[in-house]
Amino acid sequence: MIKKELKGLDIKVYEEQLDNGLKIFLVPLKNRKNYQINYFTKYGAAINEFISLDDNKKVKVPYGVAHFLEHKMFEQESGEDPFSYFAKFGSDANAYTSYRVTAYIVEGSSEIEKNITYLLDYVNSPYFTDENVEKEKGIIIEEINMYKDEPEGKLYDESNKAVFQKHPCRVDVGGTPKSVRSITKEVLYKCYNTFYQPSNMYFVLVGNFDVKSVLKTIKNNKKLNNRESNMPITTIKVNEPKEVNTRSKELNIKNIAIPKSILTFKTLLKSMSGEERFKYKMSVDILLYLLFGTSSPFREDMLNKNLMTFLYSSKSIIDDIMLIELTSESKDPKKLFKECMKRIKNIEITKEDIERVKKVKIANEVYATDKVSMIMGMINSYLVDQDEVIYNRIDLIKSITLEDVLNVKKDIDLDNYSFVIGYPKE
Amino acid sequence: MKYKKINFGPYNLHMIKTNRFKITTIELIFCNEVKKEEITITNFLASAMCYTTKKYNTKIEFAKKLEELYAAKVFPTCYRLGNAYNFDINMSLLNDKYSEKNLLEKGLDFLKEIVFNPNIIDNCYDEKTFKVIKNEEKSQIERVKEDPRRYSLLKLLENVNKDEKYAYIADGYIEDLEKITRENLCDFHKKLINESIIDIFIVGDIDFRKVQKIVKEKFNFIGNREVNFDPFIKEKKHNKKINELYEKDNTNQAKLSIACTMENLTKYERFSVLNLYNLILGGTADSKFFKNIREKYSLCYYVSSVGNKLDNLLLITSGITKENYKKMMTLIKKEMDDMRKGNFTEEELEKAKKYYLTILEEIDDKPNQIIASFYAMDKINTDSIEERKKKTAKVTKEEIMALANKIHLDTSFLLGGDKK
Repeated sequence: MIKKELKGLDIKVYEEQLDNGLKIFLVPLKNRKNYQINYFTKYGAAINEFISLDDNKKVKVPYGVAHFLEHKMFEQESGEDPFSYFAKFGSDANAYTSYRVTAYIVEGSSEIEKNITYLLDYVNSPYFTDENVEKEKGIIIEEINMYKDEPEGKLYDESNKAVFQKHPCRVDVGGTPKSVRSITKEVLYKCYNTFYQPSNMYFVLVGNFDVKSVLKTIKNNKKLNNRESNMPITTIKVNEPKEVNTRSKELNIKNIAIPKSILTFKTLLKSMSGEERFKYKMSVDILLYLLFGTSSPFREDMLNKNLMTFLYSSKSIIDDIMLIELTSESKDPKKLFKECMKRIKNIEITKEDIERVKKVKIANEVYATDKVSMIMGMINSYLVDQDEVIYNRIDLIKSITLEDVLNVKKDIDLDNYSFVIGYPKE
Repeated sequence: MKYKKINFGPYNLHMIKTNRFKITTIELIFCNEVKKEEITITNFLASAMCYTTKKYNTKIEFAKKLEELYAAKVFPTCYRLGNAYNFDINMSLLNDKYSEKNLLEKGLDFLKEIVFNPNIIDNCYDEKTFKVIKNEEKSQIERVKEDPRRYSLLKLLENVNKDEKYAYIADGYIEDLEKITRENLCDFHKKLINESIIDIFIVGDIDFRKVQKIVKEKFNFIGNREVNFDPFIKEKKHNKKINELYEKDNTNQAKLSIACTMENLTKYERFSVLNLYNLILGGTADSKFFKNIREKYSLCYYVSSVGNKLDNLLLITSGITKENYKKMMTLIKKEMDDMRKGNFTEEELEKAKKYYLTILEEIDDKPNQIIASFYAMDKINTDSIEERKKKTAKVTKEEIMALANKIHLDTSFLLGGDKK
């Protein structure tokens, strides 16, 4: 077990890797009553072609399998419902699937050892039958239908289709009603046996607990210890071209009051060391803050001209693709688009700007480490993207220079964008 | 955790000392009786006050001031609580250890600026601020219809009783927005400062005497105020036959919202029994609704209930395939009937208690919930957290059944699901 510290943030992290490959990160907090466990596999909707470990053959699975698996992990041979078990101690269970991970969460404030044991038990003992797989389809299709009725969801779907040419990100995490209907228990087992090996998984715990006894509980878990592990995983990577699929698309969305749009810049990331990657990502955030943040003159100008009522900038990374997204609400989205382009081209950044924003980013690190759920989010986002926690974050932020931010700006290809607008339906 | 309340005449200061957080949380609450025609202007003023001030008179200046205060956060929120309409300004500041000496005092200085020195010149609100906020409020109001789940719920409440306060739309109304001028917004600011019931909460690693002195010096509200309205909404007698409504809409999924009235609840039932009743019925992923309607019949992805103590309503929401409506209603009725007949186990009750005790236990981890629970104790006379824990532990099955018999289906609203 290695003890590390998030420097300047008064947070200690204990790292351990078991023989079966499971990576454990424990973050004990003395001044909290609750705890949160996040047990996740680095398998999400972005993987749908791989070499199955069952027969060593290449297999292509229907869209939505990772998410389907997430639902079905809660099924147990004993018939006991995990929600029901956790509820005995007033604890809460939950799960989510993204393009990159499938995560199982337990939150509570007592009986941590029992909860850990139970969580490890059911995620390590799948029980899929034709009947219970069939039953789940109705629930999942209702879930897909729910998201389809949300205007933002619809726009986001279209934007992904415009940005990606081949990548599975073109399809919603949940799949389509048709792909969901085609899922069988055999497919679920194939994916499970390949991607739920302990060596492909992480166990992160944040909150009120005792490090030693928790670690002992994990190490002694029989179901976990009985798992086969450390088998090599081969996923078939889609060769996603650097270029976006469609530059612009307009659609009509039911019930929306004001046009909404997403402008995305697609960039390929170079390979970098962990610390470099952290600095790069932080430099992107600093750039976006200067371009479009609350204190940017651009934002005030656009508001004064009534060219927008909402503008949010963000970045997301999947494999080596970085997307910079500008989500907005505007009466005149095309005019706003032109203004945004001009803004990026013409922005002048000074050393003073960088220092000012660095102070903000460092303060935000403190805010982000005052809540169990936010610490969990911070640790996970780095594990998902970089397989490691960056401990000297604050020093790294301090070391960012004007040049770093300007280099990031240079990397953005202003011609490689997709712009999707949703107009109100007539 | 130590709590101290001081009455400064026109307002109360509540200080909560705890060393559990890296931040200090401040909440200033303006409370007034809800009036439909004042909702929009309250929202407007709240946004305008937290956009610019006289001294920091552009959005950039305002935002840069927050940056200077180590990325301090300021958020206005407006919401209805029973018969009251509250406007809160929530501010968070880093502890000195992570910033600089006396940051709290500097933050309170800025808060004072926001409250007492809005961007008004010669009784006229700053034109730029006014225009920007008007655009934002307009889109906020128009956005209401975008979310079908929310729209279904609003239509339901309108049909339960269109004149009752729960039917008011907290996002405001276009016709009221058009009536707001740069002049009457100033008058409303004066009214807000001079007539609201005001409470200031400060939670963090603070020194009571020092904070008390600073607050008293900076926040000079004048005049005394009294609460002259009942926070609880008058209960409704339920429809003999449930009023079932449907509105066509081209959505993939039909959004179902149901209102049940709660009649003649005792204080004990309202604050101690209702939470448990709701958790067993539809409040968690281990509830009867979830287990029996979602898991057994695969009828939906979500179905849940929430008991609203101040409105005397229990609300149920779900998303279904339209054709399953009748089946869904039958199942919901059955679960509610089972609660009345006592068709739930001691184990289900024990689990609900554990669950609720955990919620109470974890309040201490969240500054905003600490504030909310002290506020409720102060304003609607709820028990302390410790007292609530004790009472929760003692609730019996018979008491849940008795409460279940006071809860009645009243109105249902089904929206859409007509996309082919």
